[in-house]
Amino acid sequence: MEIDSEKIHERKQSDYNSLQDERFEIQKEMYRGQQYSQIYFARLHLMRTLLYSLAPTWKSHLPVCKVLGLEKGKECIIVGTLFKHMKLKPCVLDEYSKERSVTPLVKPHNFMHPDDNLILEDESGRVKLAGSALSPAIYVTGVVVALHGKETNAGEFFVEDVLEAGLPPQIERPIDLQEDKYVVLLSGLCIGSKSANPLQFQLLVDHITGHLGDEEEQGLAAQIVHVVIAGNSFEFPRKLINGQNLASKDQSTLYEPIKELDIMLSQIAAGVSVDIMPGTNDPANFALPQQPLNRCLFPGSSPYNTFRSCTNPHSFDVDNIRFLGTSGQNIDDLGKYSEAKSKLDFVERTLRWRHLAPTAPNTLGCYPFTDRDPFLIETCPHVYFVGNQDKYDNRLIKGSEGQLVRLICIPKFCETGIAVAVNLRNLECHTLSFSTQINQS
Amino acid sequence: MTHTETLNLLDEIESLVSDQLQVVSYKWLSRNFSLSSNTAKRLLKDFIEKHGKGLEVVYIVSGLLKNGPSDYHARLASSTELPEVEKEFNGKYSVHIYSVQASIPMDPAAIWNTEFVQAEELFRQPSATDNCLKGNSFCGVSNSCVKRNIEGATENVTAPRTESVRTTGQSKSSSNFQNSTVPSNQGKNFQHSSSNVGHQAKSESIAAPAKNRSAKSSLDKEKAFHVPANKKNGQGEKSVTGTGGLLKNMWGRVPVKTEDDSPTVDVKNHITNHSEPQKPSHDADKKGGSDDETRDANFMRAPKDNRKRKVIFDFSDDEYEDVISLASHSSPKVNSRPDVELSSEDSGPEKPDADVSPEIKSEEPEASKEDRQNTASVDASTTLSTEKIQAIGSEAEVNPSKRRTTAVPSSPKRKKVLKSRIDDRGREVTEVVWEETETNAKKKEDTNTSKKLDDGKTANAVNRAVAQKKSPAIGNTAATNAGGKAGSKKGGNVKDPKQGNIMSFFKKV
Repeated sequence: MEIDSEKIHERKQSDYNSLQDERFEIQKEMYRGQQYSQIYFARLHLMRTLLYSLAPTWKSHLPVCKVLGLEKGKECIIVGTLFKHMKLKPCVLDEYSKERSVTPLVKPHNFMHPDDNLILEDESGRVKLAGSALSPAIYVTGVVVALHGKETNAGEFFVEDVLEAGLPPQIERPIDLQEDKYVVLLSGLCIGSKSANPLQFQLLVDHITGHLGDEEEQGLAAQIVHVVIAGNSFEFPRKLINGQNLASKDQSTLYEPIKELDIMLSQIAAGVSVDIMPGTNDPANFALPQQPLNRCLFPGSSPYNTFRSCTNPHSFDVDNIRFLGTSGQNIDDLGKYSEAKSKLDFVERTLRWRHLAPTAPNTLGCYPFTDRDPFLIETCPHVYFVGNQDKYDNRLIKGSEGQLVRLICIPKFCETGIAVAVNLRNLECHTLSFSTQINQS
Repeated sequence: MTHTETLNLLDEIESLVSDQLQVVSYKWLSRNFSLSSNTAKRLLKDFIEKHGKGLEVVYIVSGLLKNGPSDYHARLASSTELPEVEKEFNGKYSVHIYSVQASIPMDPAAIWNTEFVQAEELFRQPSATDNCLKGNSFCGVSNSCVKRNIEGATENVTAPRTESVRTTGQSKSSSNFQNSTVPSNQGKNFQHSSSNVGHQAKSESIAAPAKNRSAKSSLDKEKAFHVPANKKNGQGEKSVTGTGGLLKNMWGRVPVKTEDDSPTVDVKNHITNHSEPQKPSHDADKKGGSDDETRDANFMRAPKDNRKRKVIFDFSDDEYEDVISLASHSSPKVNSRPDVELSSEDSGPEKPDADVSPEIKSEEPEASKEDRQNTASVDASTTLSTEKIQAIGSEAEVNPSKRRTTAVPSSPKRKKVLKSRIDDRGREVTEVVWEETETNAKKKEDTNTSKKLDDGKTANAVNRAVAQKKSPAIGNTAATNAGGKAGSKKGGNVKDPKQGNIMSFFKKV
């Protein structure tokens, strides 16, 4: 048997930093019983400054005024926060009218109704919006826009045109990357659920770490420089989480998925840098921004310097390519309160509104920040991803100032077996799919 | 690998698959026999050619699909469907054996089980030992920048471990694949501004005196380093791991504490007996730790911390023992102690006033005991009472020896006397009072007009004050003490003529 020299590929390296994640951390925040009005105020304040600066280029001849300063028939521009009045929106008190059940009472379907209407609000007052330029189906509560129109006799504001903030400025993408380097994004592992297939995940891990395939494929795997797991890595059986004490056999049901994930993550971390973000079903806090999963959940993976537990939303740079992404709660919430042809439309809208989660804190759980709104997008990312979606989708959008953003919807891995790989050189992405279906004919 | 070695391995695989009906996947094979994955794949191929009759093979086909030109796809296929599956792939795709088994299970995920059990085993090994799972060995891609922090020492998770023959080939090929960007980037590595860096930096600085691992370090070296690294870094590790270490310390302490709570007659002996057997067992745990496969990696820290904790606990035990022993000396009654249990529970090993509280508490029950038994052991009681009051007065750490020396001189001045008289309301009261040899007591008696029940008013009042002070702390015992100490203490001339003595309710002679 000849001894041939095996090619061991050296994995490519990249610079990584996640300095922007600091604004999603809440350790320094103090809760003094404040209400959510402060985060709305911070949001309005920042966005209004921005919109005021954009208004002259948009419609220079029109004056800008506050809601209370509106006069009948006078055309002007007003800036404020949109509020969408929805008939079918569930009220929090409904939860208490019926018996507490284990499954969440509100079923995630769309709450839209043809009678929904929009209202614009700033510190001075509110005004109801009329006109067809602004479709209630597209907008949600919490978006800050500038409106051009005039007050009607009925006391409403007839909208003629809308100005959104648009894509934020983007740092130039480095153009000199000679080689292909990939960042793998996946989400929805759902370890612990009955539908999760551990063999599928193992195949993915084997591919990333370079066990699978022939040597040429392993060379492809060596080009993967970073892996991000965007939420919902666990799925615990709901019936166990009902506030009762757990029997010891039930405790192992809770613990086994965590251990399994830790073993898999340590296999990945031993080879490549990996970030894990919390999601809706993960053992992290509920309100956005979700704090990193505790490192004690991953005793085997935490010792690696390549393992990072990150916040949700998560923003990081790889080789000066900025990534921004969430585990999907923001887009799912938009899906409940507005409509679009595809999820990517929601994603694009959030980028054009310059706000990751406009429905927070209205219908999306959020921490009551007092002096800032961390979800405002200040610099445009190069790659904007959303996890736990139904199917894979991606789109490249261009901004008015030459920004180029790749929008990615990452599908749930437990359902589809698909992970996404983004090429840092040209922002192209493709899928990595795994199937374990064996047919014996 | 020589020919004979190969044949041996093939035979082993045969027995595993046919006799034990195990699923042998290429990864399981590589980890079990320390081969690279690619070698394992070739081995399985040879195996199937030679012994493949009657066995099922699962292949894995991976590459680019025809109808998704840039999408990578990998799927499992049985040998029967392999040709069809291969057609779906475009251009250069790779096929190799994924696993060999006697029969393909209904649920494909069952193929994964054996491999996962192996992974669990490797995972459970103590974190200091490196193995093929933790080092990501035997794969086709190496990453020299991955470091694993093992309890304060960092270890490079380096190039995959292959057989020694291949080392030259490996180094050649790795240099081939070094891109121009790699050397420049290795200096920067993964810069992360979060606390991880701080953690890493601390651990790295601690590891500096320890060792700098080269690529090929044998397992023996690791084991040898394991124990000294733990010992050396035990102290440092605590600071580095921060809350993690503290949490574990808490858990490590609990079993020790509960065992101490069980009431025994002689608390001192109990504690010494308890601590001694624990020490050697922890020593044994420590030494056997690296071989102990039943413990999870994170629990490896516990014995170390327990040991450190043990040290602290022992100190307090010593203090505690001192306290107990002094208290027992001060009282002739050794068999008293139902309340000592209370004191032992309350004094945690690290409380600075541990020595104060048990002492006070241990004296109180003794005093009450004496009252109930109505003894005439004057010296001891007076000693106790003076000690007690002095203790209250200082309200800080009390030096037991000091107490005793001050108490002694005052003892011969008191006498317990039975007195009977009629008070203002016409009630006949008989009291056991302390009568001082000085004339103070009589003077105080004259000034009393209301329904006072005893002679040693001042002492009584002081005692009541004492009792009031102590009642929030102790409760029942204080009440009984107040009456017992009637007339015992010379103190201030505090009189409270309106208040009756509570002991009157208890004593009818």
